[in-house]
Amino acid sequence: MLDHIPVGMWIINRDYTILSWNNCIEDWTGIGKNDILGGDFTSYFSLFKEARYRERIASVFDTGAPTIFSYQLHGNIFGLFLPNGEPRIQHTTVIAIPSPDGDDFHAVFAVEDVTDLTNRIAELHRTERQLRQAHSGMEKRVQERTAELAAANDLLQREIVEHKQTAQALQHERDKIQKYLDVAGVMLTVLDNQQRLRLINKRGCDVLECKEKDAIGKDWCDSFVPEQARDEVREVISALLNGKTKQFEYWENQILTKSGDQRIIAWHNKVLYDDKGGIEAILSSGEDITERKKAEKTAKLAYKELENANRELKEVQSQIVQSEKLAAIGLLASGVAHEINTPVGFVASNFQTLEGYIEKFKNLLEMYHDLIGKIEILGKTELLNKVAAIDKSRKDMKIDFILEDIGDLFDDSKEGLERVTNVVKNLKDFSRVGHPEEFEEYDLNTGIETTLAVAKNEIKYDANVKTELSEVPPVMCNSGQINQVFLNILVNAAQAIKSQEREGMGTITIKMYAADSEVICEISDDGPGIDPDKLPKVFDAFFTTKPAGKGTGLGLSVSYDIIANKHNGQLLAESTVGKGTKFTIKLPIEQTKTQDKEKMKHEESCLNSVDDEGAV
Amino acid sequence: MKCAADKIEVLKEMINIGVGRVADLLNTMLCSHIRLEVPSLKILSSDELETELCKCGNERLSCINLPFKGDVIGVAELVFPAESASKFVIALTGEEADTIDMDSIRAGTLSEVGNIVLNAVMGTISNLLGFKLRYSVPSYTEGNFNSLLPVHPIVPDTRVVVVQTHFVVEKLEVEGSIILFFEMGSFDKLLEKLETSYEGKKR
Repeated sequence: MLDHIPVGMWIINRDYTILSWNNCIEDWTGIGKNDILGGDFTSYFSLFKEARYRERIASVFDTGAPTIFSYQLHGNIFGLFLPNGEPRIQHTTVIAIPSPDGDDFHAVFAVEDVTDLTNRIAELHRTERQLRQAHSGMEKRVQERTAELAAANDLLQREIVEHKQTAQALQHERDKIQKYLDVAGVMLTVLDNQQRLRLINKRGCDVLECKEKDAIGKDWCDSFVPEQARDEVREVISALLNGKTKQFEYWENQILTKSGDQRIIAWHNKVLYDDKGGIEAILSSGEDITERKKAEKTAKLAYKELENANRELKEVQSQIVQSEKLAAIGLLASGVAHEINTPVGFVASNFQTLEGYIEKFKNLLEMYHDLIGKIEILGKTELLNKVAAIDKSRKDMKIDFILEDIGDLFDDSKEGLERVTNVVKNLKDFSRVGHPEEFEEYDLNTGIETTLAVAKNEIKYDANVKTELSEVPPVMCNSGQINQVFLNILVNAAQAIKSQEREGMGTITIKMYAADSEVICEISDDGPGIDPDKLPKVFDAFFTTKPAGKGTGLGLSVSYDIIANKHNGQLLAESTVGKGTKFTIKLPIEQTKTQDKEKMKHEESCLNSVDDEGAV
Repeated sequence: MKCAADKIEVLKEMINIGVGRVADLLNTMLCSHIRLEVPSLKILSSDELETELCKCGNERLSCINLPFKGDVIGVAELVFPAESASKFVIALTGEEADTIDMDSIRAGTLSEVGNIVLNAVMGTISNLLGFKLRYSVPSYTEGNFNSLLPVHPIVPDTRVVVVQTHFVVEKLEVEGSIILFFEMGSFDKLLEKLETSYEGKKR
């Protein structure tokens, strides 16, 4: 059987005697079976004489374990060559088989020619190595690529996460902004540059009576502006989109709700810019001012009515002041008449005397005239007689006395006429009807003197007037009104003293002095005084302590109005029952521009407050 | 000696003696000192074995198998990491590492080296224990540890005994392992045999 195996094989026993030799080994060694069988193995294979080989073979017999002799470590056991002379590669395996009696082992040598196999294996390994290199290159590339992909994937994942986070943050911001927008009590809209609605808040939807999704994207003018205002609004939006922001920053126009109502909206517009600085949209906040407009209209009407009422009131007030003045003048009329009568009386008397004097002058002059006409005809004696007669007449007529008296008469009359003129002038000054707001520089001392002149007859029978008038700077005031105040207070004082029906004369003291920026005038009397419970009412209209018919009850009220309201001054009253009353007038020297302005502003603000409200 | 653990210690010692012989052989072959580690012995299920082998990673290894039957059944293996195998072969043959024939040289050389080493180990153990073993012809394979796992003759669902020892050829920076796989049933037999033989020797 061994003969058919293409492996060189032989069997030896423990004594190294060759027991079997197959055809293949016969061919390779050229040693025939018949020559070698039963022979000593080591005589043919000298290698096995060496101890280390013998040891290996011994172990086969001892343990039955196979032994290998590789070509790489031992070379060829016997010479076997390739056609090119190169040795063939032999791989020798020695295995133990039990001896036929079973007591021992025989060693079977199997020598394989593994030249081709080894070459093929080497080739295979080379290929494998190349493949492995290629593979490892590929693997490296794959690994690199995988790493790149993994990195890219990581990056992408991170970006996705970031994107998600950003999107979430954006959504969050958007929700927050939407919340803010919705909380806003005004309409908020964004129109794009095609005038289409891009954003609207809840209030906007409420006013328009529509849902956000129905409104977004619609042309603003076509959908939400009444037809009559459409062109105008479109132009305004175009102007805003063209950068004319200032002009239309604030704009009011009507809008059309879903139910067809028209509401008035006050818009505040701002333009939104894109990254390149171009205008891309308009952000508008709109307030529904329909109700306010209505209220404004009502308020305007009410204001107009109020204004009319105020004007009427002012007229009435002015009439009252005037009539009060006339009343005062009426009161003064008898005194004034007396003032005028006296000078007029003696002027009239003088006039009569002068008339008599003139008659006498006329007679004397005729006598002279007669003498001059006859002077050529008459002789000397006659002339002398005539002259003597004239001279006698002159003496008779007391011409010398007349000539002396005539000067006196003229002086007296002149004085009388001056007195009349003064009285009339004072009266005229006093009763002067000027424009109530007309202010001029006025010396209050003059005012007191004028007033005293006019009121002299009202006072002089009841009180002596003591004046302590310091020099004071002129005060910006309406002189007529101030004199009226002086008169009221002085006449009141005189009447109060008179009401006591005392024996002696009372005293009215007038003090005038300047303090800081005001001029102060104190008018005090030593009359009966005013009850403390009545004192606070003295400036009330229609309040009077005088008997019926003696006063209008408006005098001090009007005085108070003049000093406090018209002149920014103060009118104060102090009184002690039984001792007298003192009125103090404090007037600012300057009706400063500020005060004027403030006064004007006050008045304007009263007007504007209505206007403003109307306009808001 | 009643305790299995004691028997195992004895077995480990015997294996150590076998490996010691191997060390002498390798020392002679390589003219270099061989450092040996104490053998470890584990009894594993086939699943555990797989897990254990997986720990060895995917390193390319050269392995010489010597299956045996008889009184015990198993496989003896000499395993080198590929790099160590190359160094080992270079040291034995004097060939340059980058020669084209290196791979073919390696197969032949390592087969013989494995044969010598495993014969020494198994011969020592069987001599000491008086076992009768029948050996197959050693074979050379390359691959990762998992692929070197001796499927045959180990039957699935049976437990295996793995005895492993590690050696280092310091001068050459070569390392390797000798691993013996025994089928569990035959291992018990081996321990029994060990007791008899040990007691006998003690007497």
